Amino acid sequence: MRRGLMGWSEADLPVAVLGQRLSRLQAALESKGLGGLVLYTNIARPAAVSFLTGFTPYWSEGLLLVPASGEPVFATALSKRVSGWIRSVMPIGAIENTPRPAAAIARKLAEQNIGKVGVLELDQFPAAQVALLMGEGGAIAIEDATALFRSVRLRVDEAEIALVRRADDLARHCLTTFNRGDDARRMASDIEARARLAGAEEVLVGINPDLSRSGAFLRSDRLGTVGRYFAIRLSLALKGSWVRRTITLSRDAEQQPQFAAADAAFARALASSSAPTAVKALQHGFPGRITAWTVEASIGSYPLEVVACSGGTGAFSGIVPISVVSAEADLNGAKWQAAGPVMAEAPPE
Amino acid sequence: MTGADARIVSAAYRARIDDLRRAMEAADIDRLLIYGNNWHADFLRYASDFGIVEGQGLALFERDGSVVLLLDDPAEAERARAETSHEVVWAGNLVAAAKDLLIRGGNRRVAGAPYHLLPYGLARNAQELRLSDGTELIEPLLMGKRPEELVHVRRAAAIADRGYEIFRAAARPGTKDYELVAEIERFFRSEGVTENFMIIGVGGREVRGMAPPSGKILKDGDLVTTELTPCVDGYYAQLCRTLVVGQPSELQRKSFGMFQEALDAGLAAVRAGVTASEVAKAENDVFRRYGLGEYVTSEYTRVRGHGIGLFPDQKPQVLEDVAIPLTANMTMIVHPNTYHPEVGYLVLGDTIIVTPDGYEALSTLPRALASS
Repeated sequence: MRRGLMGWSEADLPVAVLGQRLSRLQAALESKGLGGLVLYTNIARPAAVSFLTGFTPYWSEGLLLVPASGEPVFATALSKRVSGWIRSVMPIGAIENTPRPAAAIARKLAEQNIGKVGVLELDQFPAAQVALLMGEGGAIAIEDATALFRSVRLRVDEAEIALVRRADDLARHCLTTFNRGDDARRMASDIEARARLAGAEEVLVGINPDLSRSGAFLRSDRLGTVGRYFAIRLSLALKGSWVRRTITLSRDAEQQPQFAAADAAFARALASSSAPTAVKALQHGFPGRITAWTVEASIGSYPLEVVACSGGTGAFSGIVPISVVSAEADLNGAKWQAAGPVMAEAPPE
Repeated sequence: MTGADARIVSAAYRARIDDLRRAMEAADIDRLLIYGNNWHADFLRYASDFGIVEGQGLALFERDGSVVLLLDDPAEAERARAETSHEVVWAGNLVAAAKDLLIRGGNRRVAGAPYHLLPYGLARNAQELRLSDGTELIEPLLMGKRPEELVHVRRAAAIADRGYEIFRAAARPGTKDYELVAEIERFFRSEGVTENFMIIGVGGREVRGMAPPSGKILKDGDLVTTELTPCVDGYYAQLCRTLVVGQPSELQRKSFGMFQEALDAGLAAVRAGVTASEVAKAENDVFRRYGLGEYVTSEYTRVRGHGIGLFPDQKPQVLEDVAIPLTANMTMIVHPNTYHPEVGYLVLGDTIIVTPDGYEALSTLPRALASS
């Protein structure tokens, strides 16, 4: 669950910015003849609702209706007693606390005479919510509107860039200042505490304790002593904006220059203006052999999802303005892992 | 420990597999399709012993106990390969991968759970996939606990107690609410606790409940309420306590006394065979006797306790209209948490194991109003 600092502020996410995002979505809905868009949120899939309203649930679930015109409505199974808290972290839209959010949204649609709506990621929507949303006898027509949402989501603004940069600054700070040692669990707990003390909303630390044996980032329950070289993966959210950073560390002094050269090449690649350029930079002129890479971005309800990867196809073939590039390389027989964000400039409004 | 030796098949998981296979046989179900995400990780954990963090997952559990785990996050899939012995598939398109798996499995009866959370892309093809609602097959298994499972709940409760001592020590004037959480999380991670359900309240009469931290700064006289719910090997235990920054006032002490009385009354009602309703009524009657019956309604409080295990807030919810009977070895928390009109929101509660004659309390902390 989310248990870090959760709060909205005009300085971080101006209401005017949310208004612009909603206006773009409403124009897209209008052009497609849809009466609204329905989006789902829970702690595993909070990103789309957060993008439009600033809100991330700490627990439970909810549905957001963005009508083609008018005010959004957020219906949530969080109890009425926490509606004051929701209001404090969600500056726009009406709030309805109900054990059956989809039924409440269906009622709103009926009140507004909306007969056809788009749904973000329809196939992934919880089955019971869809049944309630369609109303009795399928009164509401629904269709998948994932592509429509993406067309709006992929336009980045200064507010989003600023939050991702802050999240990344915090992640880098935590990964450079933590107390190092050979106890992976202690290192994970120290990194997490530093991020939370600095106001992170959510922190996920995974450690790959021995790169010579596994490619997996483990949680604290499976961690013990680290091997000769190991990797730390920090995923961190700040006011709904997510970033990932991975670093590889060696306890072998002889190996460290080689890792440092790889880190420097990776940092240069991250300075690219897009993920494809960054990946290309890694594949040419990297001091080692890149064995795998992924590009993750927030293009729907997931905070980060794979949109492109080596040896396969991701969920999306277009260019994403903000992404996380992860890479794995073979440095003369030693495995090395890294991840970090690639950010484009915001286009003028 | 490294990735290669991170696969621990716990006695609790072996016991769960046995129970699940028996339940499938009794219900004449060939396969179970179990859904999970980081919010509702319980069903997936039950069937696969994998604690999902990012993305969504589906486990196809066969009657012979074998599992195919579909995960839509590649790093989660890699972790599942390191932590379990299951066949693990990174499925960028979870629905398509699950459909393919079910169709390849042929004409067999499949039950999905928790059905209400299954992706619509699967549920809308339920007939073709021979998919029915299997939620009720697993829910009773989640509520009752095998002795092998109780080991983990006990350990989680012991860590919650130690965590609260850290919380109490850190609750000083000038500390921010999220800094308190950070100190707890530091401790929990260092103990191998992977998850924690935790909300907090800071202040006085204006505080109507608990929520995530908002940046409030603790000051003398504040009531600080919290639910700590560490997760050990998938199993949660919860501790609800209230402290006062500095010395409690007479009014705070007196008001809290009613919550102690209500908790005692609720616990005294617990034993195998009684219903959740009877426990709730015992707690609520105390408030009614003091003329505060209004404050046990949904306007001020959600539940008077709840089951706990692989989910931090599972059935049975302790409410006067819940007729689910308690059974021996059920783990639950009894907590008469609510708003007190004179001092603000107060909490007090302990995780217990239901026994034939009563209960076993898992917390060793005093059920008292603490001060920092």
